[in-house]
Amino acid sequence: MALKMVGALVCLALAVAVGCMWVFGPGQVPVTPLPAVAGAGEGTYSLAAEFPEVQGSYTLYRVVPVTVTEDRVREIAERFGLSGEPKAVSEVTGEFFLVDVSKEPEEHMSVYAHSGGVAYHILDREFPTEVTEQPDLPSDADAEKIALAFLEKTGMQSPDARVVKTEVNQKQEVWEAGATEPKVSYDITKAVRFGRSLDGLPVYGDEFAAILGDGGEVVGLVKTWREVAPDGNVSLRSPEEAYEDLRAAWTVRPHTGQEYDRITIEHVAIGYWMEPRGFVQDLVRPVYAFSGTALRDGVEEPYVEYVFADEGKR
Amino acid sequence: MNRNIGARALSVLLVTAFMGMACMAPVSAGTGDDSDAIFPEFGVEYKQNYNTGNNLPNSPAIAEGFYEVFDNAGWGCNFYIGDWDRDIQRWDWDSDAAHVDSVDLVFWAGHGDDSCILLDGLPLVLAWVYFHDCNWGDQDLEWILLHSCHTAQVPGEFKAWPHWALNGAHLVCGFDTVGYDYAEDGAAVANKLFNNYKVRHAWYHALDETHQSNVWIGIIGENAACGDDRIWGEGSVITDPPVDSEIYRWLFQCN
Repeated sequence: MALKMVGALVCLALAVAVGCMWVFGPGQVPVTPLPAVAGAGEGTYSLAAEFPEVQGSYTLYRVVPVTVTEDRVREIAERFGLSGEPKAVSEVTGEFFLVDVSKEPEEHMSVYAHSGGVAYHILDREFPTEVTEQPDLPSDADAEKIALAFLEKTGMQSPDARVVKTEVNQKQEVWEAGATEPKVSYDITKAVRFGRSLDGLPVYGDEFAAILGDGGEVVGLVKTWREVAPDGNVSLRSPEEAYEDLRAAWTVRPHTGQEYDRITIEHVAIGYWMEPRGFVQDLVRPVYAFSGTALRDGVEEPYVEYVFADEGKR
Repeated sequence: MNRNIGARALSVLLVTAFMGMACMAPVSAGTGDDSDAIFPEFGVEYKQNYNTGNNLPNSPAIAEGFYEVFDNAGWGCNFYIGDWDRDIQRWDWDSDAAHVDSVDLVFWAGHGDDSCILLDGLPLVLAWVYFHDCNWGDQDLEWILLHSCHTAQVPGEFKAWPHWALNGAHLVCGFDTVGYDYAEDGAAVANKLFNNYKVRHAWYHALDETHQSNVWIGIIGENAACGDDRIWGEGSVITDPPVDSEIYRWLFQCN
């Protein structure tokens, strides 16, 4: 009997051991990907940059209102050679949506009443389901020329827009189970991105990119480019005060500092902030841009976050 | 009676070990629900207030926005769970058939990482759902949308020892990089899913409306053909794919 009891206990111990391996994995010690402190404040951020010199006052800008109607959507669509009936699909973002089903493959256009933003896509070419060989993407220099010609053809160019970056913006990969790297990776599309400055300061948040696919074809375009007019002057809070706001999670966008173990701010700049295309925006306010390197689980990532800079406001 | 204790314990051990081995090498997807097209079902879970303090104030709005669109469209809601509750058993391999794997589509809004989602900050064993402890799709689940940072960063985690999270599920949609807690995202994704978009496109285009070019969206599929899925009632859905050792991933940079 005693032997049977011992046998049962041994089996029970083995079962517990197997259960523990299931829970934790082989030789795995639980790690902490998130810092345990709210706002990621005191211990997370470190400053390795000088604060910018702040002038006495800065221009405040007001967005020139746009009116987006179904006729306006049709007019923009025609410039891209699209026809179809626009319909309002979202009160939240003010999106009008048009599909030209006569095209093969069909082409889509969204125009956002809240911003005047336009998004054009040949979905099956911009976002192919599967590729089995590397698409033929143009060089960066050729991509810029193609993009500029497309903007001219569709009347989507802006005189104050300049190319700020050309980069691969989409990939497809094949992975093996348990792998930490893909075994196959293809670059699918390239984005030619445009930006602008106001009063000599960079504008953050503008969305203006032409997307090029296989053979250098323009397969997508996103342009949220609110026209603005000066609307008085404003003085800025000190960068030191803004940095404290960053540490306290008072950021323009929802805060992400808590995702990182450590954030090193390596550059601080002053610029202007544009909201995403689904948002209503009246004023274009100055911001401090804090950029640098974030560390998560021992891996470095680029980091950038914004804090409103106009005095007395967050 | 006592003479059976050892035998029973041994049986439990052998059965458990056998099940573990079976789960390590799945070969086919489950078909626990064959009425998907007639009565599709969804579930939503979110976390706002973490006991470690790293709160996500917009999680409830994200989840609510998603829920309302699907509820209005007539989908059955099997669960809608928020801050008041937390149970990793709803997600884990051995008990998900009554919860996460009992529906066609799951939406989660909360913290995440490249190997897990966090139902709360601590304790780890009761609050962190590791993908290698999941087994989605052998019962019903087709699509799982994870509004969480980095959840689509390492596809290999979805087929890792001892359990494969991708075990019949078609797509896991998440973020490759950090993602932002934008209140509008849930409703935007849901609206696009009912507006002619494939699941893959709906996820990307909705998040592209709020996120900027520092953010990459990741979508993980059992195979490339899963990328053509639309949700039930809105277009074609491929037959549950055979589960093999490969994983397909689409990566999209926001604008």
